[in-house]
Amino acid sequence: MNKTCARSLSTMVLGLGCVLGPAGCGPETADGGGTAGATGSLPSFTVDLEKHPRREKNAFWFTRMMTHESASADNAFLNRDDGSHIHVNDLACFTIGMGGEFCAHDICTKDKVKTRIDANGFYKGRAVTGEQSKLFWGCTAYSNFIGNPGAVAMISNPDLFFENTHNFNTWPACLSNVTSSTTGLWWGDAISWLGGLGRVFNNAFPDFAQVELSQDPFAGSRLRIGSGGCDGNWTGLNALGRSFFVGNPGSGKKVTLMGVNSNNIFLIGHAGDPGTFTFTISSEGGFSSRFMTGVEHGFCALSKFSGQFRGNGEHVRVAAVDTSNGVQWKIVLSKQSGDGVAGSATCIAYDQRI
Amino acid sequence: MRRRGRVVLGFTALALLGAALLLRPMRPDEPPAVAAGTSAAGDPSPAADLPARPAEPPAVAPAPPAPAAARPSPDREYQPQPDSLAEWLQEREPLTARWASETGDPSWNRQATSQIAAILINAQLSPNALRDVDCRQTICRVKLHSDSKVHRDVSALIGASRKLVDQTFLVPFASDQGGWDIETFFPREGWSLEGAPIGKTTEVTQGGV
Repeated sequence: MNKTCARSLSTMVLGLGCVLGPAGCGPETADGGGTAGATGSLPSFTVDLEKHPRREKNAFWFTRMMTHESASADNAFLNRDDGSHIHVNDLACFTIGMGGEFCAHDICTKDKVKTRIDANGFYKGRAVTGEQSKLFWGCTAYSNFIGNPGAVAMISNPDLFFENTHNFNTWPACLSNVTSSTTGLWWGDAISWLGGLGRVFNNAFPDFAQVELSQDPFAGSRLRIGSGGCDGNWTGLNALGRSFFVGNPGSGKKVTLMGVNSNNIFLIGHAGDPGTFTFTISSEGGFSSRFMTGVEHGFCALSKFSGQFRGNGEHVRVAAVDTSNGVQWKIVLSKQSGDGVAGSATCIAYDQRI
Repeated sequence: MRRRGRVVLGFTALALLGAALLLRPMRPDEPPAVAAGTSAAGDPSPAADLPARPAEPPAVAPAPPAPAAARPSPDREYQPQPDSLAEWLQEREPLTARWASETGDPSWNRQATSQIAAILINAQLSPNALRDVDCRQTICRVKLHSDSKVHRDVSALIGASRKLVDQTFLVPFASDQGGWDIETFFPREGWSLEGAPIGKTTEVTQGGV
């Protein structure tokens, strides 16, 4: 049993209909994920979809922003508008945007933006950077999802954490063009998104944190961090990943995504299918923003965060935008100075039967 | 914006080594020693937060310093990342096809030309950078040119292109005449680059309640 699983023993307090994981909690393998059908406790919270009957109309979702100007932004509960805390059994909530001035402090380790789930199953957020720190988070109702009979929803917890610490041993020698990778996200039968990140993201070369979604339902998605170069003051990066599964564990069905085809027509499919299922934007080229899918069709969150974040409102995020075609998820960015920001998002389809 | 308080390292190997030896023990961003399973940032619920970090190797003497890694200067030569450029070129194809299939709109052309000229002037860029405007029914294509290959100059044109409307798409091309051409597509008001009419857009924060 890997460390993540061992740790989950103390946090697995919700176990509603806990079943074998979709992936990811077996013995670690060289190339990640876990062993299909592994038994044992899961680093996750499991929700019985039968207890969340699907709404026939109108998806229920909401988005919120947390900033560091509020003292409560540090390790604060994610709350509904009435102030009540949100429990993982009630809603599926994820990081949908991040920004701020990273590594503004001399102590870069202080800077982080993330959502997490505490030991009691409540969502919490942190948004602590030099200035203008922002955490955008969004929630969707389990009742929005459709699965085959017996389907469950599962959210990984604790967050899968990856930090590049090579710099501590090699400083002051620079790490140039570092691209590190690790494993541990769930397999390609689950969606995986960035849950948070920290440290620098303010080098002149673009630092990045990225989730690469596996195209194989029995192979792990990958969480990668790296830097486009070295500016002599490289102090490392870290990133959190979070996986989310809806369906029948062990069925080997790839997670169903929302995307667009070559004519920009929205479509439903899987990673690796023809079409675009990762929506990328950049201040430096390509799209500056992209519509992704209707809010009634799926839920979108960040899969990549990259660039030089120096505050002044710099961020990459997913927003819900009202259009003549209904409300649609859109990935947007804000750049004020520096060498640019970029990001990507992926969208899980509400209908996971396909 | 506050500037981060960086330690400026010397540019010679000697100075770099000296700085390393001097500062290494007191690196402010060195994570404090923490017990396994405890967040270095003092997270109050460590057990639910971060898995234990792998143990750091024992301290070793600093390796001979690498050549000073200079911060990339804004005066460096502009060069888009190859991976990104390849992706942008692929995404450009349907936009180019759509633009080519539409008929021109002289009225929008004039309006867009004035708008772009104003953006360039406000950004203290030469209006001569504007080389072509060709607006069609739902999508407009603009070409800007930079004689300079310097990163700062090319980035300034990219920034100007991004100010046209909320949603733009651009690709930088190395110019045959030297310098860089910036080709930008943007949609007519009420349309998206994805091709669908979208009307007036406003952000909403919840739905289906």
